[in-house]
Amino acid sequence: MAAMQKKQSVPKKKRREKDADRSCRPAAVSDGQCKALDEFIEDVLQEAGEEFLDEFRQIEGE
Amino acid sequence: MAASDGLHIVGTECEYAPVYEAEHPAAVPWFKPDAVLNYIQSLSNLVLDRLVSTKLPFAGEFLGNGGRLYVDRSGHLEYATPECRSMHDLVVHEKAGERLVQQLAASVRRFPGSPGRSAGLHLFKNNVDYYGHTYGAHENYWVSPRCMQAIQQIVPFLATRQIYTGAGKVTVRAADRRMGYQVSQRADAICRTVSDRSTADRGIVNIRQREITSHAENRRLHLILGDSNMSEVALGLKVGITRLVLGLLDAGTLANIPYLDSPVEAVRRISRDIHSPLQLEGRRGYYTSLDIQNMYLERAHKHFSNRKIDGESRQMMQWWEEMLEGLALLRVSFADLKLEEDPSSLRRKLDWVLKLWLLDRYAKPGRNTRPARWYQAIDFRYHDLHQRTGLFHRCQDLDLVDRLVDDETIDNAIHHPPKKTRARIRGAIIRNTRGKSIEVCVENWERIVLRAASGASGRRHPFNHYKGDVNSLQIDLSDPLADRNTALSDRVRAFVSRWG
Repeated sequence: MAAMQKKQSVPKKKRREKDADRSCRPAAVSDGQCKALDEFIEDVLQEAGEEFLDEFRQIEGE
Repeated sequence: MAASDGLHIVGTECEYAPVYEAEHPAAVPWFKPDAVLNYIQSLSNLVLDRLVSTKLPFAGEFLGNGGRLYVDRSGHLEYATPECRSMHDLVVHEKAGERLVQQLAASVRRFPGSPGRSAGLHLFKNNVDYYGHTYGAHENYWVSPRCMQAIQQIVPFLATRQIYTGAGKVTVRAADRRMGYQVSQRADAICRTVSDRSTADRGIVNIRQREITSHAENRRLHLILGDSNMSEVALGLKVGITRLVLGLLDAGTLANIPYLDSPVEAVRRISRDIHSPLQLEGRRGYYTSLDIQNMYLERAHKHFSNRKIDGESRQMMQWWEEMLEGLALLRVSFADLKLEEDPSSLRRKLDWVLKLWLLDRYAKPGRNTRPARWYQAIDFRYHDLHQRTGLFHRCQDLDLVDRLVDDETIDNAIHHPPKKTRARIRGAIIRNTRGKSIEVCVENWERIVLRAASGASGRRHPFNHYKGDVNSLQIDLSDPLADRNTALSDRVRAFVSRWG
């Protein structure tokens, strides 16, 4: 536990986001990637709708 | 190489959940379990039947790459990898199975009862459905009797490793439809520390004895508490670190490792909060899953520091340490589906973190008015293998996740077994008897019987009374480490030459 506390005590760098969307940092994920991803999610959800979940029924097994 | 060298043979079994996405959902009486089972079985069989239309060699349930593809008792399509000697081989072959079943599903053109319409079959690599039913992603490790005798010593490790192996799931409270999030899909299905059952009373450790091998008295350790991983890195961590810990167990270095007070409760609590305080037997205060993982990591450092260690194990040690450091800095809110701080970019590596990041993006201001079912849909679509609708694979295509293996290697593993295990012999026999007048009966993982097809034997053998002794060849693969056997290869070659 002591080891963990030591690791946790490492000072964290404060991150200031220029972008309003803090979860999508330009350094890590490009705007193009974000846009493509968002469109994909929207399309998949719109296309499948809620009927998809009604179909998603399995039998317990191993 | 003996199991005591820490290089444990490993294999996994993944169940794939089928869903038929039609314009008009098939009329299935969902309230009748038998009807649901029949329906799911029929979908899985549609996929499995496509195997005959491919050029892939197979014999019964076994494939030319040494793996096994079949429909299990619960109607799910299941792929078992061939026996592997490294984390890398295991990741390659589990991914090869994933790719194979998706290729087969994509080739299904018609669904019975829906003439003229595309089947729209989707396979999901996950462990739980919308209604709470669970199905497995099992791991098998070849271990020494000493490991099995001391197996309790790895229970704290197994209970806590979900912090990097979990696939994540959206939860919805029945009373008020309030959403939440859990690290592991399987955590709530575990209700015992040790059990010999896999469909009920599931244990952190499963001690059911099955075939695989009795070679050198080593046994199969069967783990059923893990989640199905989409991420290659998470899968690699799961298998690679577990092999390392089994090496520590085999070396007797875990003898005084502290036990969890309530392992089953710990599994469930960690799934809801990775920093949940846990109590250890005989110790004061509280520990987190990270503390417990670090205890095992420290033992590993101590044990391997003055020993010769292979490159992959050294890499696993480094990744393990980096992963725990990254998790210590991670800040999440499961109640709000928020990934608040991820300075180590664990979302590129771990399934549950990536899924939470996706949910967080979807729930950003202006979008959070949608009902819980939409978030559940994102959860399930994460595991969809279909190229058009699979969310993880879309993230992979967009270079949002780290990879361990390349596509060419995965494609190759659909056809070829891994090296250094008996899978190589099994695969070679299946491939080399293809198209010959020989029946190949792969009875199980350690026994194959070749028989001259009836037409061939009737034509060629002059003494029918003795032909059963002569026109069949029994092949013993009880040694899982035997990847070459010249004498056996010669006998198989002679048999094929004579009867094929």
